[in-house]
Amino acid sequence: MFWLIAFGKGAAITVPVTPAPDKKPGEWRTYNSTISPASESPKIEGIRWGSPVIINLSGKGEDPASATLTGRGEDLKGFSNITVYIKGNGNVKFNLYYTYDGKYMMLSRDITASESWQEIVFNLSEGLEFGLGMPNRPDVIMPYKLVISSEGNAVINFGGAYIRR
Amino acid sequence: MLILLLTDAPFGPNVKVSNWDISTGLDQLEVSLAKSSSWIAAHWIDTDWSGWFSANDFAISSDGGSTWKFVWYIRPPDTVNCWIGDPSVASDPTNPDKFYAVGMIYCNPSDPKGEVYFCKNTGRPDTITSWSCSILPPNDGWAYFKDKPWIISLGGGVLLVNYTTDKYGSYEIDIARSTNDGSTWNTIRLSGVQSTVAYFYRDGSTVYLSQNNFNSWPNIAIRVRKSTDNGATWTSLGDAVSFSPGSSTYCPNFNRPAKIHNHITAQGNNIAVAFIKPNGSYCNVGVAYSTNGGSTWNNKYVAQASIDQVLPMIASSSPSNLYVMWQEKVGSQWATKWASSSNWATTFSSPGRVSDHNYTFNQNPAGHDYNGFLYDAGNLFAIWANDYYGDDAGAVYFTRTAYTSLEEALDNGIAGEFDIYTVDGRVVARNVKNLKEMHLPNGVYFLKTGTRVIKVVR
Repeated sequence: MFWLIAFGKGAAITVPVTPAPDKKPGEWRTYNSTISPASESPKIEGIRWGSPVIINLSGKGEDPASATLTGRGEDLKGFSNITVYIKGNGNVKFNLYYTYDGKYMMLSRDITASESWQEIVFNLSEGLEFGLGMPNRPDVIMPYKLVISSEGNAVINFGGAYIRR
Repeated sequence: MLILLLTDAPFGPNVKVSNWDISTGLDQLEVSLAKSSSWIAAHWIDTDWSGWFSANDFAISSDGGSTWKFVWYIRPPDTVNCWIGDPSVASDPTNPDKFYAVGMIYCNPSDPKGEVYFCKNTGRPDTITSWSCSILPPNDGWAYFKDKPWIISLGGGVLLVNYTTDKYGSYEIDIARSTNDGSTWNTIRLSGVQSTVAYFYRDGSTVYLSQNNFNSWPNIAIRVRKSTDNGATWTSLGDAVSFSPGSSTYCPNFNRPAKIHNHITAQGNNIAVAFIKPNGSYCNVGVAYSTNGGSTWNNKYVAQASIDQVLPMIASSSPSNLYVMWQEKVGSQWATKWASSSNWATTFSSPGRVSDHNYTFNQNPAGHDYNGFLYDAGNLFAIWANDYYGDDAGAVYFTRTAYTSLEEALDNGIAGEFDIYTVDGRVVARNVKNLKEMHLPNGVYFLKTGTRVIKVVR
């Protein structure tokens, strides 16, 4: 499954690669969780990111559950925050990963969901670089993504995320 | 003879490992190091290519690091949409001719994903045809962002590779474990800690793992785990240290997230992790250490200073002796430095030089998150990258110590009838047959037997 090429200062070993297709913006990736459509959503302003869905998280102790909303493969430069609306029940963690000012950042929040809509604001200027992204290639910009995870059971009505200047 | 020796630094002359004329401004970065009784191997990122961005190089020395042979480099066939990084190399403690290497193959520049490559040799490690590489299982087809692999061989075909992955949502450390020399692998999930970088260290039958811990973000902690069953199961020893990185994980003069670093060593119940301990806005070298198996931890600066110190790598030789190496800004240039402790981090020596020169340094590299530093059989072996000494490109340099502790010298078969000198040339004793019975004050000495002279520290 590999081949060799005699070459210059050493010899090359190349490994075949078959990359999977990119996730499209707004798609969800799940682990120990399910996603189903929802119609209920608060009315707010901004560039919408992700349709309203119901997320059923079934974490199992050492095997936490997650649902990941995929962002677009472009920089968030020029935007100041991402606002997320949720209601439901259970304790969840929100991790927002994004490229800002040339660095791959993370913002993290622990949230207890309730029956009323909660507004969770991620101020993009408040994140810190945590050491991934732009892996050894300066022209690469990591897309952003929102991870909702639970170590137990949680049901989240996700009203959508909104990107604001 | 003795006069010349007196002017020696503890580390010997530096050897350029990336030993060709590197193209202007193109760097050799992020080098790892492994050693057996027969060979010393290095694996690093090489950006000196005209047709593509980077490859990972593998070079080896059969003469203790005096000369190096470039054996192979690895790259994906599609060098536009895929590229490499994060090389790590390991030696088999039960077979001096066996080495292993891992690194990253990233693909999809618009939505980067990664898989880990795994390489091993079945013949001489200095021969390209001895080597084969494949994708480390599970090969998820670049569905996830895996990153930052690190490998250790425990001998007898037992291999551990850790890496971070977003397979479970947020970034966590997975361990790939093989018990048949990499023929098959199983995956161990270290759940419960958001983490992007981990290192291994083996001390006897115990394997330690250090990993950064972002659970209390924006504080950074360093979680330590251990395994006593060859990496099959892991026990948490808690967080060795937790600190605020301030407004950035970067350093004023180093445009990499240096504060996520953690490199571990251990001897018995003594464990130590080298990390970046912020000193105001500067990055300084810190060591978190325990002398009771991880039940309690302390931490301190190694050499606090209002300058940047980055990429601390840590090694040990006994439950007392600890060594730390790092790269440090010196005026407008940089140098590779080290310090030692003879009381497991209670106190450290003043920093000394590893590099025999100061060098220009790319402070905005395309990747430079570790160097190589290890102890073996009485000596320290050091390798570092991003060194522009006498060149217009960043190179990899290697050196080793020329002295050892008296106890370790004896343990490694240094025997005979010795004349003992202090470092200023004063004779301490002649014709000493039993060095263990010599009650020498702490210090550095020269031992001369016949035509052989070695330096030792007491």
